[in-house]
Amino acid sequence: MTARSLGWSIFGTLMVAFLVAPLVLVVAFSFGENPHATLPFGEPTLKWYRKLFAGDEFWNALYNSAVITLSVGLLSAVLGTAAAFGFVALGKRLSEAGVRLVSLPVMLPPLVLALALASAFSATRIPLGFGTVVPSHLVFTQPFVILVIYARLAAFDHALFDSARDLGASRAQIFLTITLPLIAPSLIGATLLAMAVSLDDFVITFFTIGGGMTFSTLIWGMLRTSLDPSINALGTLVLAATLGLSIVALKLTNYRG
Amino acid sequence: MPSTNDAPLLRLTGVTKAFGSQTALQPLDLSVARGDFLALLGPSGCGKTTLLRIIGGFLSPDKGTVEIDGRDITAIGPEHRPINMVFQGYGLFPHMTVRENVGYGLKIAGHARDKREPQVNAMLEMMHIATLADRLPGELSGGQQQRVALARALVMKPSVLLLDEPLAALDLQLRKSMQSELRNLHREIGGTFICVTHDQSEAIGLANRIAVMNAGRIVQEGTPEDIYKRPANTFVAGFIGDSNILPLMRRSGVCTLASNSIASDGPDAQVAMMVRPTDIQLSEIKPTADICVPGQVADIVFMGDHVKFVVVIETGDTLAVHRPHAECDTGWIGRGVPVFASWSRNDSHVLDRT
Amino acid sequence: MRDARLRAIAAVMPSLLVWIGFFLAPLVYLFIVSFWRVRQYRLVTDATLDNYIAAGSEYQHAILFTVVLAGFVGLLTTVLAFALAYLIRFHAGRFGNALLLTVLTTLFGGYLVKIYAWKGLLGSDGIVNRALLETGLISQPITWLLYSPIAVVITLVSFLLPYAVLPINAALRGIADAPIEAARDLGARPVRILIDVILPQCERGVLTAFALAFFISAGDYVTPQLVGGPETFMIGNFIQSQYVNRMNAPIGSALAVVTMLATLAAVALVSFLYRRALRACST
Repeated sequence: MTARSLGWSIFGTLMVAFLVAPLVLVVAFSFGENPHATLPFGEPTLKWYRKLFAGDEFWNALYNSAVITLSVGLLSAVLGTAAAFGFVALGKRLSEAGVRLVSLPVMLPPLVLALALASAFSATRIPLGFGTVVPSHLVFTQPFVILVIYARLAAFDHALFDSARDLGASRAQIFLTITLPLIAPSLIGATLLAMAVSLDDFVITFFTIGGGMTFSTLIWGMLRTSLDPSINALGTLVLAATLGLSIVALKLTNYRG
Repeated sequence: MPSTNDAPLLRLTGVTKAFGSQTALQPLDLSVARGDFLALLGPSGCGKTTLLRIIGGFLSPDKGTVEIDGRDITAIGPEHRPINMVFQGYGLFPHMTVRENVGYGLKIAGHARDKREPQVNAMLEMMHIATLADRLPGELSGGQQQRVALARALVMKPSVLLLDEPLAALDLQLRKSMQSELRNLHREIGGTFICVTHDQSEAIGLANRIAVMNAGRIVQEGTPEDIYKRPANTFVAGFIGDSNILPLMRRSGVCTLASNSIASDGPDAQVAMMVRPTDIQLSEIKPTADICVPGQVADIVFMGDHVKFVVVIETGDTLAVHRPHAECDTGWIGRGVPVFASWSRNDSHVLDRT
Repeated sequence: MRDARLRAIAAVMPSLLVWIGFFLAPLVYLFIVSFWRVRQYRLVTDATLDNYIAAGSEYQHAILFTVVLAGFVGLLTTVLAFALAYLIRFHAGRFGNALLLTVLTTLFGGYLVKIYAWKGLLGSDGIVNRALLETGLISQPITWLLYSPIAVVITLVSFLLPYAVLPINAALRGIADAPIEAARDLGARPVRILIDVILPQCERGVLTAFALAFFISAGDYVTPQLVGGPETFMIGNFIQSQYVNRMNAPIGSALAVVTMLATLAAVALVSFLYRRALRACST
């Protein structure tokens, strides 16, 4: 009995280390003097951050990433919520098939979607830019909002709406005073999740943005061209942003599986 | 067969259990004889389910031993105990058919298919679910699921069958018929059943012995009649059947209720008198009775098979009195009318207050 | 009634249009392009199977290698994810939620950043080798840790593991305690309970986890490019280079289509085997 639980503890610890170690190292190296990704970390320093902030590239990427992430978040929230409401009203069979269908892009290898999008844009002569990146992201971020809100709405007690109507509330009033407050935490959580996914994406961004730089394409550039240690600093910033978004998101959606 | 037939089949000695800082069971002893149908009865949180799970082997006691047929099984897991359980909510395997559910234990025990099939079929017949054999549990009604759960446990021929709130999920009509069916089943197969319930009428209807539990202790154990007629304290009295409980003081072996003096052995203490609503008479003029209290009718409620009178007596306490319809029709009685409530000394008990 | 239905369809429409315009249409276009040709850097609309013939001959090896490697990654990820979710559900007690939260916060650690970090960890001068040298377990650095298929497997598993835990965790939470206790009560040991009660009930979660890990790794090209070394070419690398370096979209599209079909077939096979294996074990 104790041997078994010891085994489980060791397994759990190893798995956590396996998942967390790479991220911890990136953060640690970003604050160390040593320019190579080897131990020791060296004296603590902020010079990689200073170096990163000194270049225009970083500020460009920050602007682009911010525009894309916020637009994708906002649009995912609005479109996803509307779709979830629509699906719930369409009845169980149709809605389950529909939800599964719109969730397909999450399962597709990003490269295949990216190339399909890139060649379709080039064939239709649609210029690459924010106008192409944002909807391309939307296609794989809106499923998160749809899934979460659909599940939330499907679990609703319908007596709630009936009693609100019974008390004289109009359709719009019911939405604003009953439905929205109830789904708000889930909605904010799912939106933040969608933003984290968008910020994390590299492949689809790379093929659909054209000339512009985002955080992930900037990291890609640093990875390929030079062994610039400020990559750790940039990695840490992206990490902090996505972790922050997802932790708040998980907390708000009260994730239990 | 054990050498001595009067030795208990199941014996718990000094069993305790705490969850963190919360005590679930106080040191507790319990013996169950072969062939008994014991009901563990009590309000939620009294420790009855904990006790059942200790007997089943799903929890191990902090202290104390569990013996079956004289063999200590305290350290043995449920998979090795000759005890099977019908779970609350039944715990049927949702992905297996009724037949697979019922045959599962035999399969695990290593019985070949051709050996276990007749036993499974016989059990399905006995529980009247043979026509459902190839259905999945999700396609069955609550009552049918209940039968499958019973069949699945009984096919293992357990020394003791445990039932955790077996009728709680059924509607009233079904509960009544399942109750008599369970009792017949117990009589037919002659097994030993232990059942957990919070419903006193279920305990009385099913069991030949009842252990009333409160706050991690067994407060009284006996036949249903014993417990109904001679409750050990006000908790048991209040929990089993309808009762009126009137707080009293006992001084020098005498309790006083209005102008009645009732002899009661014991030290001076706050006690209570228990009397069942059906044992109280109401009359217009003062009757000659052991105990008689003047009061006033506060309410009259039609209850179907009887009428319930609410009487506020001289001491300020409220009595519930159940009388046949006929007494209501005599005309003299009505709301606000002064009455005398009376009963025989044999029908009332002076109890320790809990 | 009709009104409500129309409103519902209108509400779904914007999402559906995004899905059609930026998922379905491009994929259909990709499929069509796979029958075209390229002549002098220009697309020629044609209806040829040449690209598929090339995919079946020249790239046969790469496709097979990709399916095997991705299959291995998918399998390893699913087994580890199941064990982790099982630990969270049944053995971690009150640490379960903390463990789950830790796993989930590594979901979005930055795809590229993780690959980069593993590059630093696995190199011959990297931390893993350093640690092994320090403890005296090895006397020479292990050179095949980085720039090898092993590095690709390690990196992909660490990236995909949190994604695979999600559906399995949801499935395990959906299994009630009572049937598990009932199985114990009827004499089943933990392994039997796993085979007879738990695995059949979380089939969908397990298969979703496998499919996700398998699809994503089969289409990945960044990981093999950065940590796979000169020898490890997965089909994604060929697809990407056909598109980007050789400007040959048709053959790249055909490769993408073949890869999708191969992976779909592999997932179908795995789901079939999963059910068969469980049934075989249960009797």
